[in-house]
Amino acid sequence: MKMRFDAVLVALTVASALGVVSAQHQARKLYAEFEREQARAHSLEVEWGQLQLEQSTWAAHARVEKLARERLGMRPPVPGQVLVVEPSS
Amino acid sequence: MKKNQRAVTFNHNPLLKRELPMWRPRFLLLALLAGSMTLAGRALYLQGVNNDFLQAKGESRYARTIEIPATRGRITDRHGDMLAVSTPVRSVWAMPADAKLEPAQVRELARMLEMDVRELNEKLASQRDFVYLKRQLSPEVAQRIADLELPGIHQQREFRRYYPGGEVMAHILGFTNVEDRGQEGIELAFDKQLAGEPGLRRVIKDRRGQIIEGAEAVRPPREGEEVALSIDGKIQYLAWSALRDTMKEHKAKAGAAVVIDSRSGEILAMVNAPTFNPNNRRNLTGEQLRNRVFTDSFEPGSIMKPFIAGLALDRGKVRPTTMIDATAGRMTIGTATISDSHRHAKPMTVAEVIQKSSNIGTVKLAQHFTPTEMWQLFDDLGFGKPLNLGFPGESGGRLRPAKSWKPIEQATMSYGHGISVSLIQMARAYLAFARDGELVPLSLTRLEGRPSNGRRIFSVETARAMRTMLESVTQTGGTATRAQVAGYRVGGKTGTALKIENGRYVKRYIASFVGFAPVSNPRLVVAVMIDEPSAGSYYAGTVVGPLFSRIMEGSLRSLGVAPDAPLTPLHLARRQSEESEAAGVAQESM
Repeated sequence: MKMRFDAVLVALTVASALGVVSAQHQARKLYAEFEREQARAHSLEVEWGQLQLEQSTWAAHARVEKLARERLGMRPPVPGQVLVVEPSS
Repeated sequence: MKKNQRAVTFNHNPLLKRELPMWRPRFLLLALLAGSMTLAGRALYLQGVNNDFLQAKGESRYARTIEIPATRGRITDRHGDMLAVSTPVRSVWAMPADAKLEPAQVRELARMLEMDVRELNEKLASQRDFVYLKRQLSPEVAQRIADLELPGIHQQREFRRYYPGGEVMAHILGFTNVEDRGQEGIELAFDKQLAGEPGLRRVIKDRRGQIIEGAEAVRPPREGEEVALSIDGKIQYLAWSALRDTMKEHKAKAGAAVVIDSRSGEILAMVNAPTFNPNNRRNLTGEQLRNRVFTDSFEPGSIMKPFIAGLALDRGKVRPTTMIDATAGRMTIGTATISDSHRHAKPMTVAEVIQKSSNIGTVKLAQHFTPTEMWQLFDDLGFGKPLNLGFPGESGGRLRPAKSWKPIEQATMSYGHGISVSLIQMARAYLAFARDGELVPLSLTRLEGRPSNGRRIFSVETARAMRTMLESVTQTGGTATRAQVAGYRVGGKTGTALKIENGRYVKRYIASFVGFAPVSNPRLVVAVMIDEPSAGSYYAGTVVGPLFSRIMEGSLRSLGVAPDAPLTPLHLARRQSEESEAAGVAQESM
């Protein structure tokens, strides 16, 4: 009787130990995956920043003004050409 | 074949025939016992007594705690446009002891690092354990160096800050150092929010420092927060280009301009000249770095006068139409004499004193008050103490305690001499006129909603009367007709102040103008200052009047503020359309 009880305990212990090993393995795998995703998120973030940087370089006020004046021949309207629309109250 | 052999077997070994002394096996046994006891004792010592130390030592061979870098927060303008962005770069460093490179490898590395071979060799011959070879390399170059897999050459992730606005935003934003910490401007003022906190991660590394296994994160990194400034990129650019042109035209030494939204107290633009490019800070001079809006104070001169007039009006000492006699052209207080730059032929009203910027008229207004009353006004307006916006190096200006004022000093202070203020303080003080007598704190960051903690300086009536007076400055007969803006009623005051060098006034000038528009319901306060205009005129009306007008006009248009002055229909417009019609007809007939 006692022998059988011990055997059950041993079996349980072995099973639990194997469980721990597999859980550990799973955790490591998941963590690695998590890391990869995080690195991807980070690199996307970086790329976004670079794109914003590029956008703001293209949209720099100095450049826009230069293009508007030189390529498109735009200029501020003289006061007589401005029509002010009053908000209807 | 004859066998001649003596059998030597184990049993017949002649050596065994000799009797051995008994002590020899005993001695051997004891020696072996002692040896194993020593081993057991040593094992016990290592496993038991010294365990923790050894465990830690062992772990340190393979486990490393490495930093996870946190990105510094971005800075945007009020519309969300990027003003400062961090992008990752790499720094290449070496452990000279490990870096045993072939000459060809050194040449290759030097080429990639764009360094001199000799310089690189010197660094690699260093006695230290850690030498930076080059900092802040682009990730592409860094990757190519990593692909060489040179021994003892390592890389480190870092960030570099880019400022797409360049010179335009330089003084507001400031910059960070190579360690990504704020050094100037907003970068320093908001360093706590902007700087993230690097996280920590435990990993297992092999002998060559490669990560084999990522263990758990000890502390996740905290990314830097984004800061949205009150600055309006477009207005900032307008102010910058206007200031640059004025500097060139008047061959000035320096200049500054600031635009404030008078409804919220937000700073919409702040520019300085000379400026610098924050993306390339080699050969920077102190002159370029100086922030004249915040950190420099100057004797303001006549732009101080309206406050004295406002106080006199507010206390009921005078009305705008009260006559003041300044015909003498000079006035003696104690041993000093005060004079006007232009003689005034007939007595003036209070309004005309402001319009024509009479020193004597202003001193006569100031004489209604005791030094303490005047000091209180200046203190209420925020002179003599920093604004505490958190901007580094903010100047409080200089305002001496009223007890120490001599009568002549009280007189000169009324027209802005013997007291010094910063341009931002002056601009803020004019909010008292623009906001119907109420002063609010300024803000460098975008605000949601209107500020509620205003402080009343003048009554509403006084502020409105002062606005009308200040409007007359830009009208015919005033000192700054060139500050007018088509379509809007504009008010403001000129200041042409002598500079002080080593405690004495010298014949060099600071021309300034502070004004607001539209007068009927002010939306903006603009303050401009030009230091030492030296191409012809130095009078504020001619030097900074047009600058003010240009900044104000552009800002009002950009904000879409409704004009409050009747628009004079221009013939120019009509003629142009006639011309184009004529051109069209000419083309048709061809």
